[in-house]
Amino acid sequence: MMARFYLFLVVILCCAGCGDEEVSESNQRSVDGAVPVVVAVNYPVAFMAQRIAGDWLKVEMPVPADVDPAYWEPSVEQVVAVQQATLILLNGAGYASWIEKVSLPQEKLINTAAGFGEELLPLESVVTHTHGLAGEHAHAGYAFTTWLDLEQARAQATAVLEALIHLSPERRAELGENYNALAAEFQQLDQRWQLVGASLAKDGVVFSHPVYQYWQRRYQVSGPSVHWEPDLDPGDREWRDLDILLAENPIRWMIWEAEPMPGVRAALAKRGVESLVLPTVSNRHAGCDMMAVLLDATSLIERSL
Amino acid sequence: MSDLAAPLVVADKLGFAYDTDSFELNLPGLSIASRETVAIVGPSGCGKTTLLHLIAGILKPQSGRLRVLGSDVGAMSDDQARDFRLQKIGMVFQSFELLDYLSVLDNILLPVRIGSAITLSSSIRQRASELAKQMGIADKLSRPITRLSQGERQRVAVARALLLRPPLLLADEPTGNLDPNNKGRVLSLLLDYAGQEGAGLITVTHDSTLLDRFSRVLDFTTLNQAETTA
Amino acid sequence: MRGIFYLAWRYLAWHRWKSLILVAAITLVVFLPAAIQVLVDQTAAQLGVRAASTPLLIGAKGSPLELTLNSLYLQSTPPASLPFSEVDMVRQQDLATPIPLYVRFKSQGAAIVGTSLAYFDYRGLAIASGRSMAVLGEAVIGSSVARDRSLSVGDHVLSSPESAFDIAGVYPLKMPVVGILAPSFSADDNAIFVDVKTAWVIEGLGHGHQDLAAPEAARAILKKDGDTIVANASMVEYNEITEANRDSFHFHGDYSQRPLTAIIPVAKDEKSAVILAGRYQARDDDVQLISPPRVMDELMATIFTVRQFVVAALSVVGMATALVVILVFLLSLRLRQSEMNTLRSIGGGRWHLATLAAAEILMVVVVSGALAMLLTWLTERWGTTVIQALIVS
Repeated sequence: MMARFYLFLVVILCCAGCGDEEVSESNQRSVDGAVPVVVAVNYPVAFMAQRIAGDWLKVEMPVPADVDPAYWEPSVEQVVAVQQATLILLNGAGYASWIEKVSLPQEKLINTAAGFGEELLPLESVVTHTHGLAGEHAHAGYAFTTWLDLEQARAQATAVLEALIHLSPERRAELGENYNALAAEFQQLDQRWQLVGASLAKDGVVFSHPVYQYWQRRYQVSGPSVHWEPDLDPGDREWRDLDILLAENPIRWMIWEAEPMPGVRAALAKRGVESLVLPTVSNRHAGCDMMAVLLDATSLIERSL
Repeated sequence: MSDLAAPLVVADKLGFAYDTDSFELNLPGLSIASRETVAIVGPSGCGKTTLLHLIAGILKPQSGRLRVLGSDVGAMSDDQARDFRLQKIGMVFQSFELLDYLSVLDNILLPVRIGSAITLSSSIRQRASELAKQMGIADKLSRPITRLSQGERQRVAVARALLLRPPLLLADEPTGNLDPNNKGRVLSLLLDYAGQEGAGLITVTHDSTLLDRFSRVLDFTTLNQAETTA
Repeated sequence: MRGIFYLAWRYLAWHRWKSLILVAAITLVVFLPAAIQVLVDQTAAQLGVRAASTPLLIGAKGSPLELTLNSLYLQSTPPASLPFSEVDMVRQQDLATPIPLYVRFKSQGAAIVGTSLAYFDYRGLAIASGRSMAVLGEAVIGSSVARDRSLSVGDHVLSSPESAFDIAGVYPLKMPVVGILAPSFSADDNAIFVDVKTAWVIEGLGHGHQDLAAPEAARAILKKDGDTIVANASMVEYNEITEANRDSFHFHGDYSQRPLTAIIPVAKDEKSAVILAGRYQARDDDVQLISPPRVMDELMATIFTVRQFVVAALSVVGMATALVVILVFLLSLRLRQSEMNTLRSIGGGRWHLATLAAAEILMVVVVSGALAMLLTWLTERWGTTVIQALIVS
């Protein structure tokens, strides 16, 4: 367990050189102990917090770089470390189910999605099961990549801003400024994605994973999802299913979370489907911050369209 | 010691009666010189004990004069009579009148404890243990009274009476409850004390066998009747 | 005078049983009302301190006394529950920090308090050994629980079924003890603390079982109808949350509707407290905000009234005892008439004899009084501990 934690620290320290607003940057300042520590459950929220806060607090995201924060399970030691945080920023929408299974100081928990709780999308596929006398119950949930709708991302940033102002009211002006800058970047990207969405919607899109629900809703790109991993060949059965899908729908694009294997990309191209990469940035990307990753990916997509 | 030189008792036309009783005491005259050892005899109920109580100042004469050791006991206040009794008179009773809840030593020391005139000093404690030795009860000082024989008890009572070296001993049937052996012994203790200290002894007794040991025997019937016939 | 006291002392010592009975009787007559006075005062103070440190309490509408006793003293039957959404409502108003309380289940008589970590800070509870709970299923126990059951960190406590016939929801949950609290001399010493989510697991609102979609669970599947899997009784349901099965634990239903017995709103300041109280007063749903100090004041007023009756009754008993004691002294004086006569004839004055009798009474009364004071002092000193034990048990 501790080994994983140290690995995570190493990753943080390695990333320290990247980007001017990198999450882990304040790590170097933690020595004096006076820097408040804020824990975020995923990278987007951690990124927003660090951008808005600047360097007067340390933002931690205790998930190793190679683990999806949505499914991460902390060790007891990691939970104890999180308990000490000044604030714990949740993504909301049921993201990071470990939150449900640990004891965290209620008053420190900030649900950044609280502002749009009504608009969350329920997951389509729900396994219902029945046992005992409690009757039928469903392990239902919500789609949780909320930040891929940049308007929602801005709302989450607003929640972070409010929490930080609450923490340090005297920094209101500075925090507000940082927030405005971030919101402006979100808005610019939002506009570009509107155009990307409009363009993609005409051509037909398939998604490699059902994680783009909010992106699809916001940028009006409908399309089916499969369960393909970028680093694996999906296998014959999945290819057959895809062929059936392609026969029924005009589809020109497949949107991936990460660059697919070259063979898969080529095989798709042979079927007239071009691969595009739109990372969900749930976890930190070695080298660059969230906006940089998204802007790079967007430029690539724009060029492909 | 003027007490020793003064006559023990001088009574003149002494009269006393109880409110509740038809009994009357009338003593036209009685004189007992110093150092005398006197036995008063007479039938029960004729007033012998009453006379002792008058001498001791427990009762007050209603008429006449009574001087004891040169002091007019009839004229004393209660407090004065009490101090007088405590310091000048040693009392011995037929039923010993010891306190069950006290040890032998505490019984001997009782006169010191009930009066404020005398304080319990080491010389008094020494006196108590000497007396106990004389009485043959030295080894029983810390025992409770209830664990002594009758003779031993009366010796404790005698020791109590002698504690403050009174110039006058008043004994009311001191041998009445004792076997012949102890009778002689107790009486000897009283007479020896009187002889050694030059004190007087007035004893009320029924025991005719002991009378010859006293310097004078007074028949109370004649004493009291003398007034009646006069 | 010393002689008189010596004689009185010898007399009392000689009649030691009579003296002891007299002393015992007088001691009790003095001590009992004093002890009741002291104990009630201390109980009041004790309960008062706890109430004073909890000026506000939110619960479902119902008996405020029941709500207070359950939430502050961790006893009495659980009050009606209120939904967890109330916690968010309090938070949103930004007037107070809400501490959720779910005091419903027990473990061998000790209350299992489902709450959040803030409770420990709020009550000033320090962890003597181990740590506070971190993951689902862990328990932190009070010092008395640890002492009485000889539990240390690493041992387990088991929740008790709510009733012998409880076949539905609540099944015993085995919880590892991860921390032991330092003694606080309050009801917290006799409680077991878990995360409120763990309390919900005890209730059956969350549970862990075999992954029914996994092949090894095939035996447990009764029928499969599309996405609906019906499990049979052979499905392995876990009664302990371990690192291996923690993943499989999940909650059903709406988070905001999960039950609490109370919420302690820790107001930011007095003004916030007043505003919060005002807002709750204006509400006409099933939630109430009460003031435990006021509730306890009312309870204390009742207890004080009862105490007055008890003390009055004891005073009558005391008077009767005093009369009997006087009778005993008079009878004993009468029995000692001949002794008094002897003392008088030897030279004891009337005043001295009276002093002798008085000295005996005085000594008995003084010794009894001193004993009663000592007992009262002991009650004052140790009574609190006894009361605490009583309160908790």
